[in-house]
Amino acid sequence: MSDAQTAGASLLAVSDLRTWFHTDQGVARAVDGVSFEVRGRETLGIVGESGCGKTVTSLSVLGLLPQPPAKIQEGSSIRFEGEELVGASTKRMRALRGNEISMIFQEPMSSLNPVYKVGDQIGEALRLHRGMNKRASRAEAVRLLTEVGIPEPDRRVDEYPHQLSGGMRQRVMIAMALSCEPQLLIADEPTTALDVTIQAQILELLASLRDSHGMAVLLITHDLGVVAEVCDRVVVMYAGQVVETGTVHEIFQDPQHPYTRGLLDSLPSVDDPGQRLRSIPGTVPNPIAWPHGCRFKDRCSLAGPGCEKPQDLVELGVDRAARCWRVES
Amino acid sequence: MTQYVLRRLLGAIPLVLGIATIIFFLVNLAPGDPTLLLLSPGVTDEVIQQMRENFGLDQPVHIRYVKWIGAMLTGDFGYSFTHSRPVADVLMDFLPNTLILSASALLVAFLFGIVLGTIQAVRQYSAMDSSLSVVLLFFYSMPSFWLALMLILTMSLYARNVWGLPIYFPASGMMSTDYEFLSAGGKLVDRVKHLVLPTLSLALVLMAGIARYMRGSMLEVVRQDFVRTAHAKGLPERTVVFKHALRNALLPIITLVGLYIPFLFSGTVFIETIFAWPGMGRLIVEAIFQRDYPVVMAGAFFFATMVVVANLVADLLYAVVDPRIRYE
Amino acid sequence: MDMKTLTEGRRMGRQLLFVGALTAMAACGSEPVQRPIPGVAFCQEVLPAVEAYVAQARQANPVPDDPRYGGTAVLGSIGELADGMNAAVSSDYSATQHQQFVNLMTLIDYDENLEPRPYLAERVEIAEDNTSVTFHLRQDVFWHDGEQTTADDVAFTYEVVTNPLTAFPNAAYWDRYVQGSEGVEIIDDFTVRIHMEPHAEFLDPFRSLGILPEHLLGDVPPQELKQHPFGTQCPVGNGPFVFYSHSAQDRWVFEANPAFPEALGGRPFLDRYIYRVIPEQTTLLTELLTQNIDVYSGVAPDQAQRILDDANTELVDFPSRQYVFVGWNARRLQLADPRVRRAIAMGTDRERIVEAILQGYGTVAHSSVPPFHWAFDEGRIETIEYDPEEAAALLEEAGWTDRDGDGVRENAEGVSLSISVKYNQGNQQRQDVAEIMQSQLADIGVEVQPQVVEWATLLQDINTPELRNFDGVVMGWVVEFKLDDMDLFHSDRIDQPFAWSGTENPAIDRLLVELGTAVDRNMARELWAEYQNVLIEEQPYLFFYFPSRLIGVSSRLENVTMDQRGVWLSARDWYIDPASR
Repeated sequence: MSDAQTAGASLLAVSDLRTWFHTDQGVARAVDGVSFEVRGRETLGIVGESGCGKTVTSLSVLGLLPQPPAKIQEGSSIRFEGEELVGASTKRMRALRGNEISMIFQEPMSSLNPVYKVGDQIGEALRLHRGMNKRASRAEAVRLLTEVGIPEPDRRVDEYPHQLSGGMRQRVMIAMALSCEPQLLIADEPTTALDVTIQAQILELLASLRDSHGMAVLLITHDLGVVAEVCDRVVVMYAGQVVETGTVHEIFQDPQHPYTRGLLDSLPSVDDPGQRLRSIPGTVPNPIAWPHGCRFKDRCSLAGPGCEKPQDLVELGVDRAARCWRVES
Repeated sequence: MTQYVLRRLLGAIPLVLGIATIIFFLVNLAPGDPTLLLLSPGVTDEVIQQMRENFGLDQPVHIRYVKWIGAMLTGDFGYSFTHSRPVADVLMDFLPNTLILSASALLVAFLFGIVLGTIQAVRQYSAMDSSLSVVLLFFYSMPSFWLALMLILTMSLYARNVWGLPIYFPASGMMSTDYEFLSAGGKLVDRVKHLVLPTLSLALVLMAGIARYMRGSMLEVVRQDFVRTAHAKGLPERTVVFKHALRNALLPIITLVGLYIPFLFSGTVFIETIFAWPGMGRLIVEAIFQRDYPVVMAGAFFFATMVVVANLVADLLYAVVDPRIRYE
Repeated sequence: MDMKTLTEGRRMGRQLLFVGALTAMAACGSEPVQRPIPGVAFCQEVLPAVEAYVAQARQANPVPDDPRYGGTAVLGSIGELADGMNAAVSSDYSATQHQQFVNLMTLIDYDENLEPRPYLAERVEIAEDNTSVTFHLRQDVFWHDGEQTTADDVAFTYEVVTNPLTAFPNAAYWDRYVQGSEGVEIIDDFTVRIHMEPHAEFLDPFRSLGILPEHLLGDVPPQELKQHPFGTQCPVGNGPFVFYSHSAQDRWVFEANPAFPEALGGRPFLDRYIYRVIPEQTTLLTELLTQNIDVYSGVAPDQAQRILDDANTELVDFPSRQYVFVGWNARRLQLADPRVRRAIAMGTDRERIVEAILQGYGTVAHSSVPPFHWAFDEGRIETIEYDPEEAAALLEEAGWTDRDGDGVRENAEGVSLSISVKYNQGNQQRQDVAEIMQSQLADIGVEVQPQVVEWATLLQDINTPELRNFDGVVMGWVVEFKLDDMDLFHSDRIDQPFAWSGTENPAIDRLLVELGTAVDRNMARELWAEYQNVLIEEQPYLFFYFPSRLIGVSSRLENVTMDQRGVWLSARDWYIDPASR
């Protein structure tokens, strides 16, 4: 069990994060002024289509982007428990990774090293951050495997990733991430590559572990269904910017931004079988050349004259905002 | 796994026999005949005939074939026409010389190739990567015999006569002429000194190829998701590269090792000629020119068998190194 | 005994036996064995005896107190000593020299004027009617295993080399001797008489034939001599140097013979002499210049200057007994007419070619007689000079004109004067000869096509009487001091392997026979002049050049005399300058 995380206290504060990529074709402004906060014991979801910058945001937190070509711009701030991470030394970042902040990824098969045993990989962070020896870390790995619901953990701990199913591998990833009792777990599309039934199991597992360990979760996904399952609050991203924030309830009941509405609209509904699926017309623009003014205007059914200038986030309440001039505060 | 090995070994037998047959007919049907080389004024036809009988060449080809195969299966590789000794003895004399040189060259080439390739991949696009690329391309394009001659000129001749360096290397041979009079330590040093130039001639060219291969492999591996996971766990760069990335990047290199194992036994005739190294390459080539059939056939057969064995070893190595591969 | 039995009889273990032998030797309580002993039965019997004898001889003959004694001289050369010290089967230049001057002894040798003088034989008697020669042997010569050298050895050697079963490579030497055991008579232990027909230069074969030990090889069937380990694995000689070891394609090591007769100079100055096989000329030059070897035998002409420039090396050059030629197959239509062959000679600027290919280290050849030979007299032969106009005229006269304007002459039937010239792969000089000829002869309307052929295949092409698959071939030929072109040009031997030219010229036939029997050199000179002129006129070959042999010698090696008698001529007198040790 982690030591008492004060629910509600700011754990991760991202402020005006701009992560740009310097490519031969120009500068891609993948994340272009993103701000949000993850508080203790809460689950924050970042939602958006592919290409909106959510994954880059999550990788920026842990500094996992290769510095050329990526560069976190001056003026960006990522504070973890009050400590500034942008510009922190590599040594400090390494001390945090896998320790205070852990991350799990989308493809469990390729995210695990195929030539090392599963137990070895789980125990690695333990040996690194907690100074355990081989035997102790292996024992702990067995315990963690039990915790994430893998049967016969004594056998599994000595197996290789290719011997496990997709769902089990993701459980292993989770075990690996939890091994040092992190304060914050970043989960980048953890269920996207899994079958629907397994998805549900993994989400349940995440939720229960989050509660038992008392940690915060930053969940990246494009799937609103997932958001509905596990998140407390939501940040909607589009074209490198935050376009709406709110609680899950607020977002689902009363979406303010046309993009959020579009996303919700395109969810297939059980109640309406046979109904034609609605999609948002057009595609995400090129980050090297974001459109002028509102970046969503080319796909927005409500586009109008006010969309020509760049939109600011309009505060609608506590932790509630939307980036659209049509929204009334 | 044992079953797999057994099956492979059993399958190798017809393969090797087939190779032996092809070798036999290729060699014996080629124009020219060892007795031709012994022709001199006054050597009569009868004498030539007698010689051909002595060499066993008077019998028809298919009978000779059967006899040869039969002898080989009992380990009798025949008698060398030019060395006046059993072929097996001749091979055993030359083989260790080749092994020493080839093993050194392969060791140096793989060691440095892997290290340099890794450095290049980890420091991609840096000045180190670019300059190494240039240097390695230079060595890769160079014919090994030319490199050998250049090394002799610089590290033997110029080093001693022109630059007056305290250390210079002998231009040829496996050991000095006063080898027997050296102490045990002196003998070792002498052997190593004689190994340096020929090893470098072979290794530098090989190394360049291996480095390129390794660089590519590493670059691919470094992009894999599990490398990112390793970083996300807070592991230092060193561990990520050498524990997580390297082991995966080495897998295709094993193919290379398998390809090069036969080279351990075949030697390289160019390098051996330039450095007066009495190895298998020179032995077999000389035997071909002299039409010393028993040596040529035994040498070719031995070498072909080594290739078959090397392939098996490479495949087995794969299974050892990559847990995903299991043979039934 | 056939080969199979031999093989089985010799099928020994490998190094294990060697180790076993070593241990056994050591256990026998004698001195620890120094020389390596090959795992062959013959060598295992023979070499320990050599070891023992040498050790004892060292005791009995301590090294004199002279600073010149001691040290090792190393000689490097491209080729291995094929067939080693087995004088009965060896024809390799370097190998025969080692037999003559290093490991074995010959009955006589030559002085600077190419006059015979005693060596193993201390006195030579020639019968009045020139039908026999009697050799009185020295009585202080011992084989390196302790047995004394006697008339038995000479008789044995003579019988072996005249026995067709042995396949002695220079059997032509013995044409006019009485063959086999009938030709040799043992008068007493140290006197042996050989019977022959009177003929020219009859002592020459005894200058080059190394005498072999009868007590070691006497029981070997002659046809098995070629494969016998005596030659390359454990030779036992009686000469100034004792065989120590041989590693194939690598080196031969010899040590000084402590019991070599005082009258002949006694123990050589050198402690050891080593022959190293280094198959690459650049490497050889480097080893010489870095003082890793003391002698480099077979320097390439373009390396000569480096050796001259270096302060620590000297260049020795002398005319060799080898000549390079282009042999014409007169059986071919285009080459049947001697005028065509003479025209080709006139159309080739041999002086310039020699200058270019050999950098001046060689002389143009006009016939098979070397310029240094007593039979050669430039004033008396009509040499063919480079004259392309004359050549063109001669071709016209022979009926070859360029009828269709393509630059190549044809005869009346329209056959082109196009000839292929073959040369063996791996010899740059011969390739150069063929290619330069091609360009020079194009000027007079003759098309030459150089063709490279692998050595053994080339031999098959030219030697097989039914084949003679060539027009012209660039070749080399080594002559002995006893010149004999019978196998080359006599029409009786036209179907023998070496009758490449297919010559049928009665004048040549007659002269060859007469020259073979002319015992007196002065009489012979007339005949030689006539022969050379006839040969030039007949042009069975385009004789090209006699290259000089170039040797690089380190200045620390003294007493080195090298000339056409041989590179190893003075090996037993070599010593290392004490100041440089």
